[in-house]
Amino acid sequence: MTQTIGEIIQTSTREMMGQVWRKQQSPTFGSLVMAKVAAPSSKECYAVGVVHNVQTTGADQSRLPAALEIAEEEIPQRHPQLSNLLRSYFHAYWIGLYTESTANKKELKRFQPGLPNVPPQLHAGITSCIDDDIRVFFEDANVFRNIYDASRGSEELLIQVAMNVIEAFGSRPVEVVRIGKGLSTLYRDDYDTLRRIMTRLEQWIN
Amino acid sequence: MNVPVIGLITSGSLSEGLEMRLHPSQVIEDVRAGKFVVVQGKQFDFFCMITDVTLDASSMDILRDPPQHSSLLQQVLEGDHTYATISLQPMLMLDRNADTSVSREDSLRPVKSIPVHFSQVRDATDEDVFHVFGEENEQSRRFFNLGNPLDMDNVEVCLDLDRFVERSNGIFGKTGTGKTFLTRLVLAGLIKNNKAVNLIFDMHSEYGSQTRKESGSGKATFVQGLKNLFGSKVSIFTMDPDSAHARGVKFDQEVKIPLSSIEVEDIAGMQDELRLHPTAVETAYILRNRFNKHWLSELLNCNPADQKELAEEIGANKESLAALYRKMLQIERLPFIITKEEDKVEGVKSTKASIERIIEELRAGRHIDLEFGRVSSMLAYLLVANLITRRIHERWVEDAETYLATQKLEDRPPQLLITIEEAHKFLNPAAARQTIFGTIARELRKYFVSLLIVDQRPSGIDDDIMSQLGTRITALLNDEKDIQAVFTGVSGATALKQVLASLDSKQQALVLGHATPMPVVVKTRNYDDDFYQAMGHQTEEQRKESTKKMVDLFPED
Repeated sequence: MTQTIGEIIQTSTREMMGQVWRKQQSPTFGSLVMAKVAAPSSKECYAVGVVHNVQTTGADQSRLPAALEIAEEEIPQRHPQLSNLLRSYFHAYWIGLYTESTANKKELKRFQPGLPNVPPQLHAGITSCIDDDIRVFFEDANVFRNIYDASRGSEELLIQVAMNVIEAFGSRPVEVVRIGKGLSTLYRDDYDTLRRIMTRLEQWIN
Repeated sequence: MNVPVIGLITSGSLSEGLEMRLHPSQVIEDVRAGKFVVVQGKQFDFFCMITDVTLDASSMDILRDPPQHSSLLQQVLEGDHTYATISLQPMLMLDRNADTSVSREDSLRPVKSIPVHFSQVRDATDEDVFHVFGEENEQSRRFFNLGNPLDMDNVEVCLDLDRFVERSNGIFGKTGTGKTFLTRLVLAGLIKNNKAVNLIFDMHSEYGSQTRKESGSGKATFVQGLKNLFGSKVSIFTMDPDSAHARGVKFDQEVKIPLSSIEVEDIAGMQDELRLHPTAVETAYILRNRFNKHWLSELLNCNPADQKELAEEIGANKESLAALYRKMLQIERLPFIITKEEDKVEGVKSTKASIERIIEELRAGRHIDLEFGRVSSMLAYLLVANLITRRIHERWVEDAETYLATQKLEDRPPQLLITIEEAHKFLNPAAARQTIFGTIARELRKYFVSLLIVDQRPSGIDDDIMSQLGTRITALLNDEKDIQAVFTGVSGATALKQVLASLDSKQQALVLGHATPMPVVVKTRNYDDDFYQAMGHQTEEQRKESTKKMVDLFPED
């Protein structure tokens, strides 16, 4: 489990909005995050989300930040207070539930694609998912269907998630093809889009 | 047994066969037409043959704009969006829950239904092949190993010899595809297992004695003939002793044919070969009525100048008589024909005994290979085969009728199988109605005589005859008409045609019909030392060894 990067400030069974803690890096577009949901005591249960939007605005939402008209490198020296006045937010779609349980001293990790029937509470901590977790989520490449449905077919989001997943699997060619096949089921009737996505992935890998 | 699934049934019909979607993990190029697979339905296992392989795509767009070679897109599409559809022809069905006491043959049923959607398809196992085709067995001697199914080198496909000899059979294939080897293989099986007495009209002298093997590398080696393998069980008769001497073949008897034994019916069957006008045949009948069995010698002895007189005397047309005379001269010139004069010199007994001896040998259960040596003209072959077979047939009909009357097993004539080559010359639509072979092919096993037809142009054979053939063993054929002809009278032929056209040109044959429960492509077994041993043949060393053992066991002192 990694460090908490932020907390939920808006929640629903479909998606959530999180605010990044000031000293933390905001998650990247297409990365996977998770937040704890209520579960029986023997299990740790997390809702897993895909980050589809990251934004930074001024702390006072009623005022629009004004241009400083100085070089970017000079900003930290001349306006050290600025980092306290900015807020980073991110939005993520829920794509499944991740449970960790211990039975017979063995740790069992299980991922169930779908939406949580109860969303995580407000102010629940949000952590970034590590490669080990991602590999569990994408053992079955059909999870892309949940991302596709939640994002109403956002091509960019799917490509970015695919890149993250491929990296988590160490870019092994077998996994690349398997993930490609998972994506291809989404585009049975849209060969042009599938072709575009595969070309993008191939260029990125090479 | 856990055999990997190679695909799923996606569609099909009883008349058109089944369609299988190949599993993405399977390599298309490993799927070959003629392969034997099993579809596991809910209640039945369906034994099927792969008849066609088709490339398919889930969307036409993919085909319009194909992915680049070995790109990620190509790999992603492979198996899911671009895939192979395999056509299967179900041949037999087997009730999986059948009572184990039911015999092998009874548990196999003709296909009357099709498996449910998405039934799994797997490669056939050794057990499946044994179950369908039986196993060689020393006791019953019913099955004879013909070779292996495609891609299954450790399993044997057996021919049911009991059923094989029940009907007339055909071995077809274009030249150089191994017809002779196949024929020799089958004959060896029949002789070894004592299933029928064989008479082989050996046009090119290649069955009885050692013969040259065409090997791929251009080297020529020699293979054993039936006489070498079976010794005294097989007699070699020859039409051309000089050729036999030259080749170093020890023959048992030379065959001579006296002119007086040639009947008009023997000539009538060769109208095409002799280019004989129907009126010439009528003239021959008139001559026969006048001179009885000496009609031919009387005709040939008649001086051309006296022909007009003879024609007037017997009431025949002079031109027809002259034409008949000219044609009959061709027959007289054949080296094995003995004229009336020679007949007297050599003695009627010695010459006539040739045909008589053939019959006696056959009745005694010995197999005869009749070599033609260098007298292998079509005219000689047709004449001899027709003439001898007619006599044999007459005798077998007599014997069969006696057997019917007495119903004693000892009166039963032995099952006789006559092998003829270039069969389309005997069995073309015109000749089939006149020659004895047409009659034998049609009347089936009624008189215990059947034919083994060896031919490279099955399209030349009369349809009626083709449809009566029990078992067809077919090597590669390319000509559309020939392929069509082989499947005359076979149901579900459309799918099998594709299989036949895709056979290898060597050592592969499609076997279908009475002697196998379902059509199957066979990689025929090698005709080599292993085969000789299986046939009971001993090499020189082995013979010496066994003689030594005998001497040790029973010393002379």
